[in-house]
Amino acid sequence: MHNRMKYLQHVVLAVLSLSLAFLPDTSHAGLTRERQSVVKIYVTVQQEDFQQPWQSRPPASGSGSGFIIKGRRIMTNAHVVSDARFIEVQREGEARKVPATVAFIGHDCDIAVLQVKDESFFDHAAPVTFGTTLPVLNDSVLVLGYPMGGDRLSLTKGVVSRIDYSLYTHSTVDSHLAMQVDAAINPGNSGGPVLFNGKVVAIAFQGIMGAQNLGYTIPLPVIEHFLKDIEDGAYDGYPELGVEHLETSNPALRSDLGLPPGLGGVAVVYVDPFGAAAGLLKPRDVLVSIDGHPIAQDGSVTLDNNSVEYTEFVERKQCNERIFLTLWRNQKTEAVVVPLKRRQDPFIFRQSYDRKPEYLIAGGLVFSPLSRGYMATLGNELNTPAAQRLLYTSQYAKLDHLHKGRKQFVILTGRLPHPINTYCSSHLNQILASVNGVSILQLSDIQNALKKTSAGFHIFRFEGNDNPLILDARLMDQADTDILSQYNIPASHYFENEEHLP
Amino acid sequence: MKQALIALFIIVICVAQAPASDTNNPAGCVVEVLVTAQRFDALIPWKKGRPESRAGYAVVIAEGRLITTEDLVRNAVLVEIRRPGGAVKAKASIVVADPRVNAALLSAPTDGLLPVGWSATVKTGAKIQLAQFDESGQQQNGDGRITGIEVATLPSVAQSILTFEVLTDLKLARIGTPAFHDGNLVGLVMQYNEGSQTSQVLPSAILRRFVEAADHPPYRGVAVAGLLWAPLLEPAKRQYYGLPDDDKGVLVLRTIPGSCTSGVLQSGDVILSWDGQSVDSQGYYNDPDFGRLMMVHQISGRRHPGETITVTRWRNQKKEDVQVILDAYDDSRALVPMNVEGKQAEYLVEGGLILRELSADYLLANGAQWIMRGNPRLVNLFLTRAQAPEKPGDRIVILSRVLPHPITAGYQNIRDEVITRVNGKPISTMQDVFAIRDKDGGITRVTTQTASGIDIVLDKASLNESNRQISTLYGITRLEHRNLRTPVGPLISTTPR
Repeated sequence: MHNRMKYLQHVVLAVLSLSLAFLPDTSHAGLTRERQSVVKIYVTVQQEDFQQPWQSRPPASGSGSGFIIKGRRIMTNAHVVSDARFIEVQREGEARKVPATVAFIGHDCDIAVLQVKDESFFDHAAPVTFGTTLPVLNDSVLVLGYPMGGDRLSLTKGVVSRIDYSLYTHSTVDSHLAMQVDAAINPGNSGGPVLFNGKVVAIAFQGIMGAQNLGYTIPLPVIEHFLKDIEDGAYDGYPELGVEHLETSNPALRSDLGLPPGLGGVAVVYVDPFGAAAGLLKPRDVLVSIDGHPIAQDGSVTLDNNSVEYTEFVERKQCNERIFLTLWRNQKTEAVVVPLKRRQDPFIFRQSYDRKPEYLIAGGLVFSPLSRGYMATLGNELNTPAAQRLLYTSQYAKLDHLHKGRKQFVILTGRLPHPINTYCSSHLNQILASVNGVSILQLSDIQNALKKTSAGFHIFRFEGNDNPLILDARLMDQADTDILSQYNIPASHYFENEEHLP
Repeated sequence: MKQALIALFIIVICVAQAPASDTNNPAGCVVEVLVTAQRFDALIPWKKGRPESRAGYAVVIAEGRLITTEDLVRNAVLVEIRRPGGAVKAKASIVVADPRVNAALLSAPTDGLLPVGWSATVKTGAKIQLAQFDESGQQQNGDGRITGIEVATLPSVAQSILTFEVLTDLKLARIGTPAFHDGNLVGLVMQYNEGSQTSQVLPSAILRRFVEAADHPPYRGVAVAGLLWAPLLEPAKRQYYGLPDDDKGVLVLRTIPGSCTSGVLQSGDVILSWDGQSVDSQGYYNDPDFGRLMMVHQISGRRHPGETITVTRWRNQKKEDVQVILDAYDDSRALVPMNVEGKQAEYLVEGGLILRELSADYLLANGAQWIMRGNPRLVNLFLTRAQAPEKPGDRIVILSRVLPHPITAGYQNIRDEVITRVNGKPISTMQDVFAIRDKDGGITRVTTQTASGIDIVLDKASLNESNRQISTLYGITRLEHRNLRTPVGPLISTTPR
C-alpha cells in the first residue's frame, strides 16, 4: 500500500513536470480559440432617479466582459447591461466596436444575452464550449475579462474554493448556486468566462467588499437554466415553491405531527400567497419527498452522493414544469403535484431595472410605489422612525397580511415646494392610506380619488398617522400646472400599466 | 401696617436664606457624588452587566438632603458623597429618583455643608456662574450665560422638559455641575458639548417642584396628559376645521386609551387653550415666568399628577371648556414599556426557550442603528403601538432566543418571534405565561405569530431534566424572574363638565 502511494506520487510529479515543460505551447494553443470568443462590452447606462422619478440620472459609461455563445450571441452579466442606453461590443484584439442590443436578460440570475445586427462581427470567431460538469473544490480555473477597464484581455488563475448558495446582489433578493474562486474579480471582469480545461463552467459576476482575492462566479447549472428558459423566446425566471419550513429533527415535534419513525421531511410553517405552493400546501404539512427523492429531517436530499437542499429540485425546474411532492398530512402520506408558474409577486421588492419608476404629482406632493430602488436612496434615513415602516413593510407585507387587497404600497417620496404645500414636509416616507376617504391600493387610485373633493378640500391620510394632509381643492389644478412648469417636469404622472386606469 | 408686614416677610426670607446667600462663593453646598452602577443585561435577562463607575456633583438643599441628576445615580448599587478634594466618603441613599425629570433626591450626612437656595426666575441672557472641582479639590469657577430657554427632550429619556441652554467658558467634566445666579441654584448640568461650549441645564424650577413632590410621599412622578397633537398652521387645514382666521390652536391626533384625556378629547379636536393659557398654532403659549414655551411645560413643568386643569377645545364648530385631571406617567401601562431604569425583565427559560416581554431597552440594546438592526416587526410594534395596548396591562410576549440543547433540536434558529399562545391558551403578558406554567406544571407548546399553524413543541417527559441541564450548561442560576405586580386597574376617570 505504502509502496503504491509512493509510485503514484512519482507519476503525479512526472505529469506535472511534463505539463510544465509544454506549458507555453499548450496554454497558447489551447487559449487562442477561447481568446477569440471573449468580448469587451462598452455600455452607457442611465439609472433611474427614484427621488425625481420623472427623469433619469446623468448618463454614465462603463465596461464589462462577455463571450460569444452559439447562435451568434454574446453572454454577459445582467448588471453589465442593465439600464443601458447604448451598448457596443469589441472582439479581443480588434479595433472595431459594433453596436449590440439586449436579447434576453435575467435580473434574478444576473445573466444577459446580447445580439449584434452586424453579422460580420462574428467572422472567424468560434463560440465557447460549455463544460458538462462543474469543477470540484481545489480545481484550477481561469478567469478571462477586462478588469478595471483595460483594453487588453486579462487572465487570472484561481482555485475553486467553495460551491454554495449565495445572494445575487444584482436583484438583492435572489439566491442561487454560486462558485467561489480565490481569484480577485474586479469591476470590468463582470460577464467574463471562467474556464476549466478550456471549457466555460461559469461567469464571473461579483466580489465581496472587504474580502481580498475572492471572486464569485455563476456556475453551469444557473447558466444552463437560463439558456433553457429562453429557448421559448422569453425569459420567465425561476419558479419558487414559496414555503417556509421547520426541521423535523425534534422528537416532540415529530410525535406532535404524528410522523412515523423513519420518515424524514420538513414541516411547512408558512405558505407564500404568491408562491407556486399557494393553495396546495398548508402549515403542518410535512414535505417527505420531492420528485421521488426522500427529504431528510433537516431538509436535505442526497443527490449524486452530494447533500443538497430540497429546494434545489425546484431551482432546476422551469416555469410551467411540475414538481411532485409527497406530504404527510392527516396522519397519512399524500401525493401533490405542484404546477410551477411564473412568479408575479409585487411584494418581493426585487431591485428593478430597465423600468421607469412610477409616480404621481398632486399639489406638488410626489407619490411613488414602495420599491427597493427608492429605499436604497434613503440610506441611513431608514434608521428613522418614519422610514422604519417602509423597512417593515418591505419584509413583512405578506407575513403580517399588510398587502391584503393592495397592488402597491404608495408612499410620499417628495415635495416640490409651492405655497399650496408649505406645511406638508412632515409626512415624507409615509404610506398613503386614503385620499378623500377612498383607499389607495395602487398609485393610479389617487387620480380617481381626486376627482371628487371633501367639501372643497383634498384629504390625504397616511398609515398609522392621525394627522391628515389637507389641501384646498380649488387651488390644486392651477398649483400643479405651475409646479410642473416651474420644476420642469414633463408629466404629472407615469403609470407603467395605463390599463390600471378605468 | 400692610407695608410693614410685607417688609417683615422680605426680611424673614432674607434671614432664612442667609446661610446660603454666600454670594462670593455658593459652592460650599457642592459635593462630589461617586456612583457604582450595575444594570441587568437588556438582552440576557438573568445576567447583570459589568459594574461601572460614575462621578458627578450634587448640591445640598437642606440638612441631610441633596439633589442631583437621575442619570448619574441610575441603576446605582452604591452612592457615596465626599467634599471636593476630601478623603472621607459618606454613603448616600436615594430617596426618590425620576428618570422622566432627570432628578434624584439623595439623603446623606451634610455636616458642615451649607444648603443652597433656589434661584428665582431667570431670563434668557442672564449671567450665571458654574463651579466644579479638580482632582485636588481646587475649585474652578466659570461664567456662563443662558442663551436659550425651551422645552427639550432629556438626554436619555423621551420626555420633554424645560431646559436652559448655557454657553460657558468652563470646560465641564461631569454631570450634575451646579449653576448659580446671585448665589442661588439656577440648575444642574445634564449635558455638555465641548465643541460648541454649550451645556443643557435642568432648571431649578423643575428641580424645586420635584423636591416638593418627593417630600410629600407617595411620589407620583411627572404629570402627563396622554395626548398626541400636531401644529395647525396650514390655512387649508384651518379652514377645513372651520377655525377662525387667527393663529390659535393645535390639532389633537390621538389620545392614549385609558388616559386622562381619552373621552375628553378626540382625534380632530382643536386645543385652543390649555390650563388658562391660549395656545398658538405651533403649540406655544406665553409662560408667566419664562415667556414663549411649548405647552407641554404646562403639564410636565407646572402641574402635578391629580391636579385638575381646564382645556378649551374646538369641536363641531363649537368652543367648549372641559376639565382634565392629569395622570402620572406609568410605564407599566404601556404595551411596550420604556424601562429606562433598566429593571430586570420578567423572563422564563423553559426547555431552552427564552420567553420575556418586549421592552424598549431590549430593542435599544442593538446600538445606534437599532431601528434598522432590530427585528422589523418588533421595532414597528414599539414605534407604532407602544402606548396603545388593546386592554390595560397587555404586553407583547416574545420568544427572544432558543438555547441549543437536545430538547430544542430543530428550533435553534428561531428568535424574536411574537408568542400568541402557550400550551394552546392565548396569552398577553408574562403573568399569563407563569400562571399557565404553574397550572400545567410546565410549558410544552408555544405558538408564534409567524407560524400560527404549527407549534414549537417540547418533550414533556424530559422537560424538568432538560431545564436542570440547561441551567448548568449556560450558568443560569434562576430559570425565571417574576415581578410582584399589582393588577392594572382603570385610571382615574374623568368626565367633561
